[in-house]
Amino acid sequence: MTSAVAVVGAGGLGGPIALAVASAGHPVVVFDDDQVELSNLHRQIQFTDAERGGAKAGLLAARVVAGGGAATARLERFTAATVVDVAAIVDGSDHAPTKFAVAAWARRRRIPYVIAAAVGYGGNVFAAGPDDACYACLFEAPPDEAPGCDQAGVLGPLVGWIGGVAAQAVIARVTAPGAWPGASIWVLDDLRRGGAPRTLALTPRADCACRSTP
Amino acid sequence: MIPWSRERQRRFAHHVLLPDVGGRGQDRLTAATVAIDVDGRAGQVASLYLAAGGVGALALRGRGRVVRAEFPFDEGDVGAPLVAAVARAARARQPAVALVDDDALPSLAIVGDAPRLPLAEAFARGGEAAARWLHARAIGEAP
Repeated sequence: MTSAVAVVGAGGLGGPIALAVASAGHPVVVFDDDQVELSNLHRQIQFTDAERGGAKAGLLAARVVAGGGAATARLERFTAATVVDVAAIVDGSDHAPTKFAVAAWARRRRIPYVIAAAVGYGGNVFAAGPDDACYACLFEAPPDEAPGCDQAGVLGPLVGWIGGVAAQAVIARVTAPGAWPGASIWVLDDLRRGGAPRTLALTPRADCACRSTP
Repeated sequence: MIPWSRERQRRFAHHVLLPDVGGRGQDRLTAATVAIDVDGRAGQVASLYLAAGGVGALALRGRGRVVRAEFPFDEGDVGAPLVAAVARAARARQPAVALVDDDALPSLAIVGDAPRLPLAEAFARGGEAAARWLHARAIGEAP
């Protein structure tokens, strides 16, 4: 049985996630169709200045392999129709519809999933197994307009912090198959307020589609 | 102050958009030196985030050597002093960063850092320490 993990997005969150998950002994399959730009380099420390213009997924997979890990690059966007054999999936993309697609895809395949987000000075990490409260139980549907890092900015090292937390969550779920903790969300509201992040346990929303369509 | 070339604007565009950072905060980061102990993995990760984020100078401290070619090190770093290897990795990400000696500066505080820290924890701890320091420095509240 595979212990591989799909990592959706090879950017600020996907970089730490892929490196850390592979370092814990799990092969990673990295999905991204984007190239490294100068404006990525203040936070995407998996890439060097000389790698501008290169394909993110390929460069990140190569960095994992150079560090002794196992990685495959898929230079494409993850979609509901994507086929890949993995034990868990983690989303670090900056695209809300992709996050919902990842959650629905994981539930259909009955594997655990982790969805990470960061913008400005805060972010969150949602983690769940296939029978738990789902991503849509909490967030319902992709927002019509959600400012991303390109509009709102993001403090560079924040993505390392949140990516590290997301990696810990998926490693815990791949390491103990079947004994997953329930759905939870780790929330950093705004680091400028100085408080510690909160972790909340989640229960299913009774009128969520996941309660009638497994 | 360093002039705002097109390249610098583009490199730090996501910081300049942030309330509390902007051009003035980024200039404060460029003028700053941060001291970091790089014997632990979180310190290594934090060093790269601080360099990439535009801190002008790093004062790296440590006694250890690179034992494995795992991120952020390459095969050619194995056996090298950690201070030299982290400096190389930092410069590869932000060529303008300076490496200095400054014994008077207190090291960046990273709770629970260690040489064998799992990489996921190193990202979480190093990222948090670097993020809190960058924000404090951008608003003029860190040394």
